[in-house]
Amino acid sequence: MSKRIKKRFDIPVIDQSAVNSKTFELDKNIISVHGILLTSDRDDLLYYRGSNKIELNRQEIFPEGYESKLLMTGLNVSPNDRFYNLGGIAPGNGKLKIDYMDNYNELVAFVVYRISIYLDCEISEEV
Amino acid sequence: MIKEEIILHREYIQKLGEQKHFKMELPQDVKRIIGIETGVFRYASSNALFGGNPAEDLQSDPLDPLFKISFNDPVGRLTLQTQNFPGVIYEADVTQTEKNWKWADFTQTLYDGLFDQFSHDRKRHENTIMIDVCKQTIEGFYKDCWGEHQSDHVEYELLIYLWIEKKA
Repeated sequence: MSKRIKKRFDIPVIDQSAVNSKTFELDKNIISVHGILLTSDRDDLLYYRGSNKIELNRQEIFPEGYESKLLMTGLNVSPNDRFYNLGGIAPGNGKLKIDYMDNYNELVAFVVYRISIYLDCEISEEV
Repeated sequence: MIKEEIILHREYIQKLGEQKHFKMELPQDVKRIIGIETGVFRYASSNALFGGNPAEDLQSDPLDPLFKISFNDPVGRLTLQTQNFPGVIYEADVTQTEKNWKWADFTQTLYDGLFDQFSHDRKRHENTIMIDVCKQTIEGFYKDCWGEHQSDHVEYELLIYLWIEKKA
């Protein structure tokens, strides 16, 4: 028996125009990852300044320089449709590595902000 | 095992109306190209966000502005072709702003200025194509329109994301 859950991982962005790397470990009972979504406590900074590289199980899902706004959705999108479909990737060693790059943009001045990565995961309920 | 991958190609544009021919190298294990996305990263010296030409005179327009559909002026025009496939495989305008994100949304008049594309944009998808690849090179051509609209040189980076399917 399996069911779907959402996992959230946060990365604080403290330095401007710098790479913030973080590796997260997924729970052992996760059997596949179906979707990903990026949000922030400052959506405007994530939209205009963000790019990222995302790896799961040492396999690159999104390359370095991939614009973060391509993984965001607005509030106008139905909650059921918000996640970016990854097609059910096996987590392997369960290591999720995010390299988030803050890029200078004169439209939005830098302040310390937080980005959140949501994963749509399928877990096994068998012990 | 992941069977899909994204290849990112960057082109640096700096001159008004610049035209650029370029090649994109694909990995050896590529089977086909399944999608294309584009984006733009501006450099600090660039002018203000390119929203296109100034808005038309709304006073003389009988249409309700909430239901007016605006043309998204292109930043540039991109054309791609492969050596093993005759003709052009992809041709599109590269745009930076979606001017119709407020279309028919009455709440926007109440909170004008508080929200923008970053909070109310649609969901983004890659443009789906299906091209089998025999040779590992894609040729591209790009022509800048941003500089022409601004009548000045605009420095920016064109980002082309190629979604590929790998051999098993």
